[in-house]
Amino acid sequence: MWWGARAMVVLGLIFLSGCAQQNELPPQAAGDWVLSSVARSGVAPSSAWGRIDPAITLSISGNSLVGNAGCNTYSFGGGSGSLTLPLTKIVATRMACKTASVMQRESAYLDILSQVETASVSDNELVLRDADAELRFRRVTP
Amino acid sequence: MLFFGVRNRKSGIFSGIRGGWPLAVAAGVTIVSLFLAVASPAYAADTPPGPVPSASSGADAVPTPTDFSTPTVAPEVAPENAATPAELPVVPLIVGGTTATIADAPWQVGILSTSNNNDYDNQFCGGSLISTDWVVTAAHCMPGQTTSNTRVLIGKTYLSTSSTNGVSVKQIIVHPSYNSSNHKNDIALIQLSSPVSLSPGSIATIPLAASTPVAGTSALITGWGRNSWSWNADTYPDRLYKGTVNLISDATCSYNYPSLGYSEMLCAGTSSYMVDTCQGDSGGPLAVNIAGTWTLVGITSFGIGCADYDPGVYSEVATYKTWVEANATSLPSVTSVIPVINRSALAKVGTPLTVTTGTWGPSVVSLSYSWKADSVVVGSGTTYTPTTNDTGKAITVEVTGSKDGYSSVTATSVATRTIPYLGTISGGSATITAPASIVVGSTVTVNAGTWRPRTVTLNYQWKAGTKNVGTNSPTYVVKTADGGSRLSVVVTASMAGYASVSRTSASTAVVTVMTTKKFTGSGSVTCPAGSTYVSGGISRFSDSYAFTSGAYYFLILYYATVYRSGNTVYGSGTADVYGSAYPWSYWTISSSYYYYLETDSWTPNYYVNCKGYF
Repeated sequence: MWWGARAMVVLGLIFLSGCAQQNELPPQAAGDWVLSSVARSGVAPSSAWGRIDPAITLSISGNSLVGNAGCNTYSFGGGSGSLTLPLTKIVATRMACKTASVMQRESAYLDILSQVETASVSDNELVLRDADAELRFRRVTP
Repeated sequence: MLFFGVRNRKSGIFSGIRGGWPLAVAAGVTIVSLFLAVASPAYAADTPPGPVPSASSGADAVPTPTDFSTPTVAPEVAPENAATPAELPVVPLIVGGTTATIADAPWQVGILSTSNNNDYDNQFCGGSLISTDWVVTAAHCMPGQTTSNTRVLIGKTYLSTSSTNGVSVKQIIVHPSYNSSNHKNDIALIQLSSPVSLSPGSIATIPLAASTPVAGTSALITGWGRNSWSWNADTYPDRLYKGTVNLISDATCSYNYPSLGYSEMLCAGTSSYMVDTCQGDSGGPLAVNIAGTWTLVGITSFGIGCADYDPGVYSEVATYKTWVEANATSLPSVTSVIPVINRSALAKVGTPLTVTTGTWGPSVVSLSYSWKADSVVVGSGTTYTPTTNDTGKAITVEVTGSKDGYSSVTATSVATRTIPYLGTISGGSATITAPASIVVGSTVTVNAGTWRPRTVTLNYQWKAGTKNVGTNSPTYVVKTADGGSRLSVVVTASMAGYASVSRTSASTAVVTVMTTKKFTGSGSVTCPAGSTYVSGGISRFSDSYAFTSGAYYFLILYYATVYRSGNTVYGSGTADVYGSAYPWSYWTISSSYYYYLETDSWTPNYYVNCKGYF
């Protein structure tokens, strides 16, 4: 009986472990960031995105994430829960960007951002990554 | 999941991002398609094709392209109210709407930048005309906008055909508490530099809602924004689109947007969320017909993707009515009355038309008049007598009331009947006389016959196939570009007061094409009948031939240049004589001289040395 109960607990933990698909952003991710480079499978990483005007920005504070994707502002979180990946419900305003290239980059950026699965921070660099793409951000120093 | 599509309004061509994970979400199933290249020229320039290098940590290493080359299907739980697969939009429009005309929402305006010369490229947001000189839009549309780089397009269904560059702006007021992080107070006001004239069916103001109708109320959304959420669609329409959505309660919307401030926001969508505003619609109207009066209840603000199982979110107008009324202040307008043209159903040439203006206020308003025949100003004053130039056109009169301390208002009458013609043109013909074999340089002539009245003016429009060619003349000299086509001519007789009448000729035989003939090296060629063999010719580097003046067709494989003798310096000669051509070119040699063919290799070149029609 005792063994049966312990087996149930172990199986339950294994089950719960298997369901833990969301990753919390590390505390070091808090702050203001500017996109510096993008890499996608099949495409060489590009630092050109870091030179976009206007810059693509990301600010993380508490359980909310906001930024400017080029011309539209976007946000995620802000509710009662913690800020976890992936960011599947990104809210964005509905302007049409005034140049095609900005719109293209914005669309691609938000597409990637909505799918990132892991986050890491080191040397004032935030890296958001999924199996297909990688976003690197440079910390904005006050 | 969501995918943000690519605005191709600026480029004019599709430049889709092929990368990432565009999704088609069906009930219970998410189809994941993966693409491994970047098609956009702009995007490609930033991210040239190539392998992704290994990431710094092995566990997080970015896989190689081959890791992602196979589309996968992954299960995903659909929301309770998700569409069934059969309901998935094939061609979703505003998203999920239909084409509209400005008459469907005459309060709709487009907010334009001044970056380009056409309004299609300039439009980036929408707005609503709430008075003759004030527009309400979204605050998030306004960063970077000034009175000098912002214009407002009014009364148009199509963006590209207006080319008006809109109405200039006097003042922009963004809500002082607008918060771009949480999207609260997303409302702004634009004052036009001068009041616009309202026009039935195309320009109208819309009142602000004093309170928001109950959830479930049907509402109209309009705009020029993306009309498809499909990742590879040509998504930005030139034409206005509309869609019908329902207002959604805050409680229901909180399932989709758990952290919004609902007191200032309003959600709207359909039960399947397949109709929605999208990028380019920001600032535009969410309107409800309340007791027969269209009323502005929301301003397009934001959403999660578009029509992607979440409602759109709008700034709730009733919340801001007091703020708008306190800020959208301007001079009171003159009170107008729609003018009426007397006996407009009997309008005809020579009979004066008069206008009844009614009583404008407050007394005394100064009135001015502008008579128009099919929108072209033809007269002023309180009366106008149609002339023969007005036949076939309808007459309207615009009355503008002005008074010190008040904004001027212009009101336009209903049009008269079409001014009838004085008579009918008859007779005439269009018979072409042409040589049996029509070649370049041939002259063809049309006989237009006899017309009644005899004083009609004839106009000639020559055509090669369906393409208009030639000038207004009864004769036409065949051009090289006409080769392969049949010629015809439309003769149009016109006379003031009469409806124009046209006669179209029968088509001629096909114009013989001046074609090319090539041969290799220094061999000989027999030119077909109708052409002339140019003996000697030039066939390869440093060959030369003394051409006489005339037109020659050269067919050159590999890049090559013909230089006039004396200018030739291999590799550095100035192509000031005939330039380069590939694969063939038509050059006219204007003076008899020796010419050299110069090429970038010793490979024999090919050229034509038969001149003529064959």
